[in-house]
Amino acid sequence: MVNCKRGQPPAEFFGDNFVIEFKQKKYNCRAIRANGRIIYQVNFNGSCLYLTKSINQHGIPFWTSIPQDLKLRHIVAELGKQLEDHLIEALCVTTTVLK
Amino acid sequence: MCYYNSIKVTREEYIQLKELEKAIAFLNEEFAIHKGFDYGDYPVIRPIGKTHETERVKMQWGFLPSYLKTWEDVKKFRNGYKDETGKYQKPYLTLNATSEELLNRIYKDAALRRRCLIPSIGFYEWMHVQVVGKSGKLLKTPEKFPYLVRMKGQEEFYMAGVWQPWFDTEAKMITNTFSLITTVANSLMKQIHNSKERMPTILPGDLAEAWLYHDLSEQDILDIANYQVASQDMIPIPLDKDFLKKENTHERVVYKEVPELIYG
Repeated sequence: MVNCKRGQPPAEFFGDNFVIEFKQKKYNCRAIRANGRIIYQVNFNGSCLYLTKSINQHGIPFWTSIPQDLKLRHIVAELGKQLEDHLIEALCVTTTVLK
Repeated sequence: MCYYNSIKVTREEYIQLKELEKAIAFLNEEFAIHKGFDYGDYPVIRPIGKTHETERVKMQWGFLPSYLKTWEDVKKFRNGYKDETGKYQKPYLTLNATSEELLNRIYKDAALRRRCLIPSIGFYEWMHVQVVGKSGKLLKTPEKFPYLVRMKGQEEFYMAGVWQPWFDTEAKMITNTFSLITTVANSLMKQIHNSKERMPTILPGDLAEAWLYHDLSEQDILDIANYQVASQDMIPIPLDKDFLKKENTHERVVYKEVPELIYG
């Protein structure tokens, strides 16, 4: 038999879909677990933006897109803030990163 | 004044972010809709050398024969062009290779030596239906109603393909390209893809194994390429006519103009 499935998928969705609002528009989001970290998928008109919280060399957390794209830094920062607000409101949790 | 800015992360974090990038790429492969006419990259399964191991590599969908030398040639080949005499030369579509002609045309060498499998969770096909216009008469142009076809009990299935490394003589670069093999439609697909009556050659495990690894005769190649999966093994899902523009692309939408599908 041909078995082309990999053992452990490197990334998998978990939890329910949720919606965040950005500039008066609503966007569907999902959480993804990958390599022990959480990534958020934000659907934009059929394409997807992936965000995660990282930490800079000075130990300050910030939101980044995957792959990293400097051109998107403003929108990523704003979406990250919206994600954070949603998580605090809906689940009473906050996002953090390990230094 | 600062006009340029960047955020530096530690080397360890940089590596982790790069690893996440790979994981996301896999996720995109699994869930994206790939449109053939975009001539984009698609994950393809091929054996590693002469072993029984496989690898999943990205190849460009749209088989390119070796007689094309540059991307300009490829553009003409795929889109058609006017030759020196002003005569229009039709485009050559190689997204699909018909099973019957696999050994007669540009695909022969690949069919004998470079066979692959194309993984899928479902494929899309359009039913052409003659509809009545506002005047009460049948419209000349049929309306197209899309279907997603999945396989019963198989989240992922494999379609037969052939691949070809194409050498760009200008950039001195190799691009791996592939074509998906189609066969005569089964009774269900004849109703769905009623304009062409074709469907992908979907292979069960034993044939997929033979297609990838076995030293096949020309007759064996044709026999496998012509394989027809049974209608009963398929799950057709009628979709919104604008499903490609929607968020939920797999939502079932039934139109009253579309005749009911008959199994058998």
